[in-house]
Amino acid sequence: MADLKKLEGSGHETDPYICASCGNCTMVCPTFRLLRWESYGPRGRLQITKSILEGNQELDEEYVRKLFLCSLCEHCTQVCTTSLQLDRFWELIREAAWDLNMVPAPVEYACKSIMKYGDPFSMGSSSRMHWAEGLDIDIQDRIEQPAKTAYFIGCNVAMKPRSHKTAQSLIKILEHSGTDYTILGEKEVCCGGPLIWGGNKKHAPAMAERNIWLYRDLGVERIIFSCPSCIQSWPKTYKEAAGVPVQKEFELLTNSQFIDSLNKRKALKFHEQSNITVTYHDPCISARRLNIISEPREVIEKIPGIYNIDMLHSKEDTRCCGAHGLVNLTDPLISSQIAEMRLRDVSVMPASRVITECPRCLQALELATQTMNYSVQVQDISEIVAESLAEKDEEDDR
Amino acid sequence: MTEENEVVTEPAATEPVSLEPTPEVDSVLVQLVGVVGKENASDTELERIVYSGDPSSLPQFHYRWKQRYLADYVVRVQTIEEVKGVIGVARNHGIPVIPRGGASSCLGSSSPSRGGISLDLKKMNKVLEVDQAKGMVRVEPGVTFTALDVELGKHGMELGIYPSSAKSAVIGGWIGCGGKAGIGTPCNGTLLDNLVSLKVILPDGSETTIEGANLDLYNGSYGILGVIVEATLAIRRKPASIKTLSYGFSRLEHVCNTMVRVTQLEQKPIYLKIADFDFQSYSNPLEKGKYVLSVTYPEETQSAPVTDIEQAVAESGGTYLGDSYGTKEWDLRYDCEFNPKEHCDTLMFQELWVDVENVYDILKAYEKHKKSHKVPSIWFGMLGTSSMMRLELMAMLNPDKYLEFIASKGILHKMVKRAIKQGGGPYTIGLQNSIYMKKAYPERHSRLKELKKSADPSGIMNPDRVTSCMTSYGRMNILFVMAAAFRRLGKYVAR
Repeated sequence: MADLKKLEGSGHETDPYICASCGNCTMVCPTFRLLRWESYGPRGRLQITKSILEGNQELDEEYVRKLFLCSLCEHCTQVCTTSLQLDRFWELIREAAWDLNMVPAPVEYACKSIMKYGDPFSMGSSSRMHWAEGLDIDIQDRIEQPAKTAYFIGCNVAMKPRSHKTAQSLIKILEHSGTDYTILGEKEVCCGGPLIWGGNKKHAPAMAERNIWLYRDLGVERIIFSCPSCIQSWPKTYKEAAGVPVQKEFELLTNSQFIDSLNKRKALKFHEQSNITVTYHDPCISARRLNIISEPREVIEKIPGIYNIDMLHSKEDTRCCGAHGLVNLTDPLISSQIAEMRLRDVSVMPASRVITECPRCLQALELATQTMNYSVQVQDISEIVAESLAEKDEEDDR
Repeated sequence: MTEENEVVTEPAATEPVSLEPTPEVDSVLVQLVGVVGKENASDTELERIVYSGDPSSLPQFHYRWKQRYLADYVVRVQTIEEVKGVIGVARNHGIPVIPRGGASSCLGSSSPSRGGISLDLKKMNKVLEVDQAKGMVRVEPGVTFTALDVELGKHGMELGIYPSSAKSAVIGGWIGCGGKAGIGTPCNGTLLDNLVSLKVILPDGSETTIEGANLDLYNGSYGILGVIVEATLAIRRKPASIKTLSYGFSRLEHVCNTMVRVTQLEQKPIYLKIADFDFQSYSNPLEKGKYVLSVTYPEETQSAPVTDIEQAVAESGGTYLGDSYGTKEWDLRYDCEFNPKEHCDTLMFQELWVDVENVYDILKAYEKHKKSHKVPSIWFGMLGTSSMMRLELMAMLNPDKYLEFIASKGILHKMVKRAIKQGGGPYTIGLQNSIYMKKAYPERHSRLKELKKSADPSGIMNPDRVTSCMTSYGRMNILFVMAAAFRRLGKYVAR
């Protein structure tokens, strides 16, 4: 029990005992589905945790490794017959592992990098605007300018080249709709989410607050995120730091929610596409935590000539891409193999594109198309919307 | 410890001294690795803990009955040859083999009783053949019901029968446990009715195909006769839509009578459930009445016998609970059993297999005990065949309250005895209900025992279940009768 003091007073002390061991979580767990050892699944990990709590087992490296191979995709929470918030439980155990200096080295590196450089890749603030290279819209005037709408780019979008197009596309949509917006430029820092997943939760609120203070000074009322994990981590961190839920102070929207709101105001004009069939991959956090199910589908439906066909496992039952929860750092191979499993779901669909709204999903699925040599285009929802927007001349003609 | 102060203890004279050489533990693992590869065999404590559990949420002192409740080795198999190889190693070393599927059975069907090899069959998960014309599917034992449903769905077909644990169970595990009551069984028949053949690896390592009358013995044999490595089952057209009707009743007698009348109608339901108010409060709370009857029919082939049901309901003073209530009942068909566990430390339960005509009598007795012992008890029933129901009696307990715990055990024991007296018995057998096997199903017990003796003379296959038991009925009966006598203390130990 000494190893798991974090559980005391957390409200999760009895979770391993409340678990009915029904096994529903095991069958949906992406790590179990890949590795097929029950000890990687939530039920197995709970049984080991129970054994540790009772002093029959040590919190050892093998257990910690299994813990960090959980993608925190919340599928176990979704199917739990006893309503356990398992993702929160695993985060608490990861905190215990952090305190014991037992987290995997790449996770520790990323967490320390966030605290030192403001991002998990040790790239620093000078790399924050790399995403704008090649953008044919001048955004210098937007940086730190007062506005009611802000666009939070996020580390994965700002710094991973494949996702730069996501941010560029959203800027095009903002401009097309005539939205007055602001961005933080080089002053933006990590949302703090990876610190929570890495077990270093105590430092997460400070990261969120560094962004929030700036937004407050700029008079921001709503913030658009290209990464649902960022949106998820803010209320978590800020609520506990300041006692005020961040979502009460700001409206927090994902790309699809924002675009859907523009469509409802008829602020976007599209040109007809040539009968493109897509399948929408719901990011775990969007669908299961933020309950963003209808908005992306409505956005796709609004584009003339583009049709969405849902995969068998979609919406709340979506399957993880393997890149969440720092699995991609703990074991990149396992992470990419989970993405391959998800791409197999895509491969049985008559779709030429996979659309999503999470940079992790996008990067993981795109990598999987390479490792599986399977040809399908992977896009963020902002990309397909931006490339379907009517040109100015087209709009004028109408 | 140095040689000088090392104390050598002679075995006590009364202890039996084994003349067999002590098996070299390492050599077992090495041999298992030789069969399945390093990545599929483990003897780490961590894996042994994980692979020794199932949903039997029992307090630790329950485990004292078992000699060694942790497996010694965990092995995952993917081919028939690997199964044969593992059984060969077990036979050579005289150690038990415990076949394991989804481990979703609640009464210790796949938990070890004396160590041994936990044989995980979940990697044998291929749908080998779908023959739409013959209406049959051939599968490996580790196929999940979800995967099977997806594969059959491509052909517009379905298995049409599912255990209530279908989200976590695998087909081989359900066959091992007998599969008499589930979603679909009232109209499509029990698992036995749907089994065409089984391929089994016997304890001597040979492979055999079981068909016809012999299927009855292997279906529900809990892995004591061998390992099921392949099953052929009947399949059918998938109904396009279903409709669930739910009714609330104020009296137990009325819900039971209506349930019996519904079972007697010509059209059999896909799913029929009855439950009490407290059980429902944890999943789909009742706003009208104290008991619920929910019944589901396919919509397109024949319409549900709504008129007949409504007449029966009206005569019993029942109330229709609305379409959305019924839809939720159907949506919760796989989860409602476990929902109460969220609210208690130990959800102790007993599963009975009883004639629908006797359901009222048993529940009346159970509710009487519930009141007299002030034990937080709940129940629900799921129709298996047109005449038999699986009745699940539960007690929501804190194991620290020993008197409450042991009194509940006593009550559940009384309920099993009552069911046996009325021609029924326990539903799932597993480790815990094997003491009732001879009393409840004497003929089956005798046939299985004979077969076990000839097929598995060394008793390596899933020991202490079905045909043998770690304790005797007589001993347990005395213990439980004494436990039930704590009823007078019930009011002092109630929550």
